Amino acid sequence: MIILRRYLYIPTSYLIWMQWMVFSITTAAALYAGDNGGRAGSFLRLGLGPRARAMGDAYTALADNVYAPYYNPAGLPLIVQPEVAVSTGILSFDRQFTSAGFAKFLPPKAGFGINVLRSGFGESDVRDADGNATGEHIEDTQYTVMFGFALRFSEKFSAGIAPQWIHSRIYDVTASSVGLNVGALYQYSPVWSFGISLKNLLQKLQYSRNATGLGDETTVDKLPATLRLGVAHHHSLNENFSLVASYDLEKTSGYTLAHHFGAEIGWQNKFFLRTGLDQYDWTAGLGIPFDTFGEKLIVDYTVILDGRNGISTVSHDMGLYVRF
Amino acid sequence: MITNVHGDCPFYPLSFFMKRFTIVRYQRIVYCTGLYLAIFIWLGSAPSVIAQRSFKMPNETGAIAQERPSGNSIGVITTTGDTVFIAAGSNLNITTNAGAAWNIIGRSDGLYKGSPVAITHHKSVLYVTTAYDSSLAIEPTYGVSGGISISKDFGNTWSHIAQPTDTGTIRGPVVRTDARTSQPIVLNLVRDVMRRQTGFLTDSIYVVTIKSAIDNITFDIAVNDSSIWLAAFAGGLRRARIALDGTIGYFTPMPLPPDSLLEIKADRDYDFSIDPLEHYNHRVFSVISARDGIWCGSAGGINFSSDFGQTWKRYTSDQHHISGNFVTALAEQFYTESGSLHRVIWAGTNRALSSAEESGVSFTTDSGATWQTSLRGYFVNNITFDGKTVYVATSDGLFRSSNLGQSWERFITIIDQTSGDRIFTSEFTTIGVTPKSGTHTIFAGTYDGLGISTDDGVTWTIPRAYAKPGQKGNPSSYAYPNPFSPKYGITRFQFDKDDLSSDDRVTLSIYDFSMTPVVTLVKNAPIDQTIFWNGRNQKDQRVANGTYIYIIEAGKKKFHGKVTVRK
Repeated sequence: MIILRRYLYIPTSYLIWMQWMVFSITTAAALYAGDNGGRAGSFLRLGLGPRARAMGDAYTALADNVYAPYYNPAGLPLIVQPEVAVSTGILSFDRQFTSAGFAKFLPPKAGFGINVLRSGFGESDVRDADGNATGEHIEDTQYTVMFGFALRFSEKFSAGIAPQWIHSRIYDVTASSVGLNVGALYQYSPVWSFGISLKNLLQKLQYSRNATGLGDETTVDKLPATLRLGVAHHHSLNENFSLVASYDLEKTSGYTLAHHFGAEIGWQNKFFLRTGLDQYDWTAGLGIPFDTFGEKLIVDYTVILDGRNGISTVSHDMGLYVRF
Repeated sequence: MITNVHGDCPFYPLSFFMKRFTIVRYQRIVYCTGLYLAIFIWLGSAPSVIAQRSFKMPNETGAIAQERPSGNSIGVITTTGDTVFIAAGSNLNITTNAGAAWNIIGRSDGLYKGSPVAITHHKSVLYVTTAYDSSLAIEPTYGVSGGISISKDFGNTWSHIAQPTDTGTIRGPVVRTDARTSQPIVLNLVRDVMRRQTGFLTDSIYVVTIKSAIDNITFDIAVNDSSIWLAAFAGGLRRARIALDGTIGYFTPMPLPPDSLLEIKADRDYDFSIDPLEHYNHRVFSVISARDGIWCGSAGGINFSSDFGQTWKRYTSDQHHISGNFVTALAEQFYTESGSLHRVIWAGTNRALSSAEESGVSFTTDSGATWQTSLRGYFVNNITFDGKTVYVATSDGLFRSSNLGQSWERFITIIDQTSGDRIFTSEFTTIGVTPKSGTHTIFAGTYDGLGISTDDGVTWTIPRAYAKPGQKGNPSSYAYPNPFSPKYGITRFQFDKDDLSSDDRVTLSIYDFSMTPVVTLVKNAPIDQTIFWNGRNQKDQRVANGTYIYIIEAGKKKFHGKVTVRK
């Protein structure tokens, strides 16, 4: 770090950030045993978009692109150009995750965006109680559609809302429901921004099936609400290099606190290298722009080292942005 | 003395008593509704014959012995001496050495399709009835009888008799209500066969013709020197004569007393139909050929005939104080005490319709003149004996009494001491016991596996069936059943243990889609430990519907796969 400071000016605040990261990683490791998975809506706790995922999912105070409805709808009015984005994950353990989105600034002070997510698993064999494959297969797929709208109430403050509709199909049962994401963003200065978001409010999936032959039974899977507090720091290292650091503190009901750290270094605001810590998973990625047909095309790539499964698997996330 | 702490079995309402046939998958009918036949065959009805060994070990028949049964859902167990017949995994499983080795007989061996529902034998002839799912595209599906498979050479070859249905001159139509559709249906009545075959003189007993094997499932079968009797639910009670050369004759529907009568005699004049839609007593579930005659259990009580079906007496809860009229099991007990041979008829007499009825066992020591009841409050699925000791499989536990039901011992949860595997249900579908003169082994059947105890229930082994991982197209690891519902059971895990030593340890953890840890099921456990998941997380909360990832670290090998929770 000292060697790096000889060539690049790194403010003291960044050293504090790094100390905080080390402390949080230690804390997170201590709390690891208290993790409480298995709640509904895990497909919405993976993160969305290669940039955000490369930055450790620490995006609540940075959500100024097409993925704002997911992270913080309040970022929608900050979008400069209309954006279309698609992304797909190459995930470990046969998980599938793809998304498409569109977002646009609405003059004078609003913005809207839409995200469509498809998540799930590849097909599994149905097996009976004797361990034999029956020839049937299990489909597990969720479709999520988020529609975000936000208003900029002042130069510094914006707030937004993003209703989301989920349709889930698991083998022979289906469920659909509507929930809500809300968020606010406060641009304290050109350097500092703060965000808050509440996700999955009022969202529950009700599955019904006739398990016993005695009539339909309904099970309700309530998605735990998630509160995120985020802070981001923007800093110019010199004429060519810029640095963004972000941190999210996440509290999901029933879960321990989660910490997300991210950093992005940009060169001439075109090429980007990113890294982060998504609670336990190290992430890294890059963004490369292309000028195609007069439109600005950005290719993003992220690699995620799954840190919690003991066998060190790697996932990838790739995305394309088109800014008109 | 066990007190009644439970009501009648809530799992399966006796909806077919509500003037309709319940339609569920036949396996639920067979395994999960309490309609398990009470097959206890006392070789030739004489204790001295019990020790006779008629069935051979697999190596004697040329078959390859298997280490474990072919399935985990146990429908029926029948014993004779040390030979045990078990219906599991759509096959007939036979063991003669307390479950150490199994001879598995299935469809490829000549057994008719479906799962065995009733198993009995008489003088080395083996009779197995089967049932299968009609596999109709619409739900609910229908159970269909596969008729009777018969083997005269210890299961090596089989012949087949289709499930009996009715023929005869149509007398006229009768309108009934189809419970499935609530629509009126027109059935035909015949009478010719009735008079010709049964000896009843009246011209007024008609038979509502049963022309289909659907719902015409033989839940119990009894055989003696001269006849075969079928308890065929919608098909009622049917009898066929056995000729001297062993030929089996026509299966005649036998007239049982209608719901309005407690007795019928062949030389009297009656005006009723043999009609399972009209009379609960014509819906038959259990039958035995006992020392004093034929005993038959129905939805309307217990029926007894000492004269080959010419006279029938009916015993009911309100008139004779059996606990209930839904008779799922019948068994004949012999025991010697103080130098005297005693005989008791036991019945699983469960609650049918009346709130005055109660599930439990009813038994008589004087051929039905008086009845006593016990184990009230427990829905009885099966009864068997070892001398004076009676064993009862109920929907809420397995019980044993050595004093004719004055007091009962309840077996605790069945756990395999070696593997840690356990049976995750309190519903016991069936029970079989080999005698003290032999191995004296208890076989406890459930739809979650078979428990075997050679020390009178102190310790158990659970020979669980599974498809070998990494072989015959199976993945190197898997969870089963998959999907599973934590509300109704658990899932177990199998993985390829080849190249692993007994010193290796295993760790298995579950993760959700976001790779958040859900639960660590075992950590550094012995390699042969059975691993199961009840669908709960580390905080013992039920997880959400969805697919989960499991990761197994066993020795130097690692496996992963998916398991789906669908509540």
